Amino acid sequence: MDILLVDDSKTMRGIVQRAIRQAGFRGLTVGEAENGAQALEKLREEQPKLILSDWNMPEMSGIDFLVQVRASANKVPFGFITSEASATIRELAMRSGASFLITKPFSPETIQEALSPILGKC
Amino acid sequence: MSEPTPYALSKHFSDLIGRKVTFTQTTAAPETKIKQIYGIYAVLPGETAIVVKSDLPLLGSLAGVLVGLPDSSVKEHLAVSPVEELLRDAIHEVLNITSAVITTEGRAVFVRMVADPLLIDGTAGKVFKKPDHRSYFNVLVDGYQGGKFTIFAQSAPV
Repeated sequence: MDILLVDDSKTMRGIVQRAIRQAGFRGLTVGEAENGAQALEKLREEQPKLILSDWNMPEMSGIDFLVQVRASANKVPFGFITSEASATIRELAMRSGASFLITKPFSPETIQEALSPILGKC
Repeated sequence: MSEPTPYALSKHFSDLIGRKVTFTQTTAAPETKIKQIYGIYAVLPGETAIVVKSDLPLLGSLAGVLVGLPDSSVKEHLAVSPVEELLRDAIHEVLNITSAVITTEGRAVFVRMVADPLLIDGTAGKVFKKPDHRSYFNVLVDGYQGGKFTIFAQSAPV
């Protein structure tokens, strides 16, 4: 699995996958989870190259998920894709170990800028 | 409570769906028989609320573009009750992403959407019934159905 995509909205998971393809990243395997708890289970089975996560999700939020990932000494690159746009949220994300935070709505170019340093140029 | 400008809303939704969306501020208009959807938002840290009332065809258009449905398919989907999961989930996501532009003060968090205004309860219910501010917009979506979009907000905790 190249990317673990975590979002409670099936629609948004589809939109992000489409944006990743439109950004030029082809042939990537993308695993999906509906919330942080489900994503943690997936991480026990497989280590992705990157995690892309929403912030507000039922059961376990994106920030709680990130905290748990880092608490388990997992250093996998972690980025948020969220409608949370405030400076406070961005600071909290970065302080907790996120590599980037993309705010919705986003363009394929934004996805490319964020993912290229981690996945390589497409 | 600082409310978003028509320009900010137009840009936000145009960026979201990749089509021209135009918000024009207007005044209150008589109620119609068009079905409405209500988005309920908590505004942090003040424990206040915002309610958005939107024509279902407008939300359906925004959501339909998001998931790649043409206008004719959106109309077919909206004619069926309850709205099929694909479009309903996309409408939910449109309202969720609306939280990023719904206020310029504090942090709006999308709570839920309802089709029946009687289900708007708590702080949101108080705001909806007696808002400090109402902002009315007519919205055009290039190539799709537009509609009315209203924001109900308050300036201080209820």
